[in-house]
Amino acid sequence: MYSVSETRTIQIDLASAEPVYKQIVAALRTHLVSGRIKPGETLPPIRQLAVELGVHFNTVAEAYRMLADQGWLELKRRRGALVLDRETPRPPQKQERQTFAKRLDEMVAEALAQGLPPKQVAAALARMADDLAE
Amino acid sequence: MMEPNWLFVTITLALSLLLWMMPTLSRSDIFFGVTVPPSFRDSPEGRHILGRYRQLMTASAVLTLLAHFNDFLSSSLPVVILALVSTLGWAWGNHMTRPHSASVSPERRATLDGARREPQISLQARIGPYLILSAATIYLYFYYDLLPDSLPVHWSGPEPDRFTPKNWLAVFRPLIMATAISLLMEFTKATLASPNFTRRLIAPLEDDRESRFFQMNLRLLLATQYLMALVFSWVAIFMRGPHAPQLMPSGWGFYGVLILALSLLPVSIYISMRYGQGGSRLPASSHSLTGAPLGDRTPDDCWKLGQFYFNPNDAAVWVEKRAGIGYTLNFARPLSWLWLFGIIAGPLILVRILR
Repeated sequence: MYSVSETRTIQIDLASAEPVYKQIVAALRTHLVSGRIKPGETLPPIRQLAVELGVHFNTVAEAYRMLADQGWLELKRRRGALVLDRETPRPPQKQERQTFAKRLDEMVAEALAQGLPPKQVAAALARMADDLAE
Repeated sequence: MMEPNWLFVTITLALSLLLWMMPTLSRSDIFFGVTVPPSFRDSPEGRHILGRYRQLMTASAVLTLLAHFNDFLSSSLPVVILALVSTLGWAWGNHMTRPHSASVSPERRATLDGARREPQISLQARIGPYLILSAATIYLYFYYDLLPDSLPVHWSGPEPDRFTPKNWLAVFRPLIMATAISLLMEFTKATLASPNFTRRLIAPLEDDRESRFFQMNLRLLLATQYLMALVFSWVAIFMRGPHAPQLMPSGWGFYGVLILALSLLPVSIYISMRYGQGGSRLPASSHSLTGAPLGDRTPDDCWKLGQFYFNPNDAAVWVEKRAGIGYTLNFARPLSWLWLFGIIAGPLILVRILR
């Protein structure tokens, strides 16, 4: 087991089919949504995060830009990326809710197809539900 | 058979010892610049490759010394020959190890908790070399009139064999050179210590061995700055200064410089053997990282001849060396070439300007 604290780290997989910048966006967004990264905090400078992950600056810059476009960050020259107090977006329309439910169904089906025990999948979903309820 | 030059013999032996040790100074999952399972080094194949490399290094050291004793080699050649043989031997070891390589983990992690917090070298310690050089400058300034009209600039032995007419530039040239080199080393230390340029593998809180190793590297660089300041001040004061004949008996100044210049060699060898790459030879603390992914977070394919790192997709300028211990440059980054240009061309340009 790789014993790095899970709380304030991000992890990417260079061999994954998913582009690295999207993995960085997903990892950072998880921390932002969970509140582990709070408004007013500053994310590591692009250069520093790129060096630590062993990727090109542009990869991290692209990820930060995407999060800025989504309203999570404010990018300031030489001052890094400031985490914003993002307003809750308007409630999703029926079609978006259906898309979300479909994606969740597909993800659960994929996990079960890969051999994950149903109990484990259910426990992970329950843990997420608890986190959201808090 | 000629009288041996013991400086030559000492440098050759010390260098050979370091090169002989080099493959076992790496982290346990890096062997001749290739990522391998940690157990590979002690396997029959691993021992065979290591044995052959060491035979080659021993033979080249013996031949170099024999050539010197028979008056075939000048004093600067052994370093070139040994470095060349070592590079070829390493490339051969790399080639032989590649079929046994383990897959490098594609997993990458980064902390979001800002820059590393590590003890810094105090300001008092950092300004020491400049204080030494300033003291020598003030001394020469006040006793300028007492300096002889002709100043020695070259020594092949205890007595000088080349001179230059006295002027302000000639008097202060060694101290200007030392200051310029020291400033270049400041730049090296600053970029090495910055998380914007150097990748470290393990967070200090999880395993402090790498952090201790890194601090030792910075202290060694500072020690080199002190040594440079002392050597150049020594030359300026005890070998060509206004009171040199009274302060130092004839010839002692020359031997003093040699002793000073070589004093860091045994220290460096001891530290290399004690620490190993990234502190891997230090005893693990109770909270040391276990089961970390294989590799040093650099792809094997980006290591040319197992020694030179070239990865345009990596933002790091400094990464851990795979041959020997310490840090090396990512040659795909423009700053690396700027640094290399500074370290090679800088002193040459300065000498030209000061002439």
